[in-house]
Amino acid sequence: MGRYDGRMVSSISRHDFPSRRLLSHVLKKEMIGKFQRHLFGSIWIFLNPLLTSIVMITAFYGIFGVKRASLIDYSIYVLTGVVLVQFINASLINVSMSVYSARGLYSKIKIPKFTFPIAQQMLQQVNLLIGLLYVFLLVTFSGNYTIRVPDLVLSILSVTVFTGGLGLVFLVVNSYFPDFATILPIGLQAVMYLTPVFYTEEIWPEKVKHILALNPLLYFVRAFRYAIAKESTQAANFTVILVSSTLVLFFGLLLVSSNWNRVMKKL
Amino acid sequence: MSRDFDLVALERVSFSYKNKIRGSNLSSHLTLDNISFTLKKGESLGIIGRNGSGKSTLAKLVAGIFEPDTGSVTKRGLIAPLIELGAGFEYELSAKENLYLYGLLIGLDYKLLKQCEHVIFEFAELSEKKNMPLRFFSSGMVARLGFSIATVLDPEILLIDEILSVGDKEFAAKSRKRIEQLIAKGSCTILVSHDFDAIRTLTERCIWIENGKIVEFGDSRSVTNNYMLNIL
Repeated sequence: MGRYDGRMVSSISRHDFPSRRLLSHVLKKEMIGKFQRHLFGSIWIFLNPLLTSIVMITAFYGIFGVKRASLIDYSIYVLTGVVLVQFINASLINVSMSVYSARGLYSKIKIPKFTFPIAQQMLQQVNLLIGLLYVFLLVTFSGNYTIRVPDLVLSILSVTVFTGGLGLVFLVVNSYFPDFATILPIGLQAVMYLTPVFYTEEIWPEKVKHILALNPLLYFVRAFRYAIAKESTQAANFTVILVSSTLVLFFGLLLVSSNWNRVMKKL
Repeated sequence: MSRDFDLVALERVSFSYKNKIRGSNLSSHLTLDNISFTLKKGESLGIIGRNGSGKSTLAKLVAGIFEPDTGSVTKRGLIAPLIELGAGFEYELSAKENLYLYGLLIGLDYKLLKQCEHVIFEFAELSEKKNMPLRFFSSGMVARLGFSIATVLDPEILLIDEILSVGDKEFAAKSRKRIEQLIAKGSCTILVSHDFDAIRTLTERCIWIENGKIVEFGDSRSVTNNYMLNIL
């Protein structure tokens, strides 16, 4: 063991997490910073999932949807994919940048480590709920879908846990490779195209199917759609998703805790 | 608590902003190199040195923002980090909401804050403006609010980094008085400053650091004198 190895491993403690009161005050601060000062910002979070979906539906309905699905079915299919993938992207980017964005605070006051990662993740939930609102509207309009509330809650919970955990892993990766923050959005864009958002899994060639199946987003999109599916064609395995997400979260928490000093030095 | 109790103890603390490379000799990159001192109840310590000598890093290690690469930092009791007043304020929120935001951020208890709300605004002389958004406040008023929140609960450890001149002349005198009062009550104080007059009047002992190393550690009057002689 070298001279500098003394404090590499530190465990997670209760003090690393904000109290509920602190969290609610920080959330208020972040909300105000995000929405009150930027009128367009608050309109945009309502428009973003809708516009992206409309663009995709107009562009791809003729190519991927026309054979089997009606326009409304295809719209629901695309919208569920867009809402979830947009949440995953935004959450990974914002959680991984959360400490850096609040560096004015972290470098001046000792505050619980996970205050801003948690606050950011909770803010992203607002976007997800807005997206869900559109899904509900379409589903109600269409009439022949059933929303399985427990499945929906479980899929939202697992995707939140997963992206929170992976976001924390990326937060540490950022401290080792600062360029990672620039590459991340590009990588996420690529992953989005490899996820069945506007096309169905059936168009994947046999040869690459098993490789594309390694994409974790696939399982969240499947679970999410399953919760609003017309008929229960495929049983999404919520246990597997939830357990693996929880493991990712614990890994992220441990990684941040043991690399905290490095993260702080890089602010 | 006995008088002999160490409230702050730094033991052979070294710290570098560069992350370690296994086996390499990094002593030339050390921001702080082998710093040790202890502070008991009611004791006060000044830290002087040129810009970039490691003073603020030392304060941040005591605040717990960084962990030392080697050595240990131990603290007992509530710490008032007067490092940058108003870090954490949200200017769109009212002064009252900021009181809770900042208070909770620096680790104060919500119930105690609620009890002290009146005292804080009274001391900051901002009672009439407590529902006003902070963006209408001058920087002096913001600093006054920050100082009042951080010092209201009689913290055991006062960590002051260059913020002695809070607000206008009247409030600067008032805040100075409050610091003296806290020291008299038994708070231990670490004062990072270029204001040697303040160092001499507020602290008994003083550390002069240069390139992260302690050049001299002793009586505040003689250390500041030697420092002055050295730079002339």
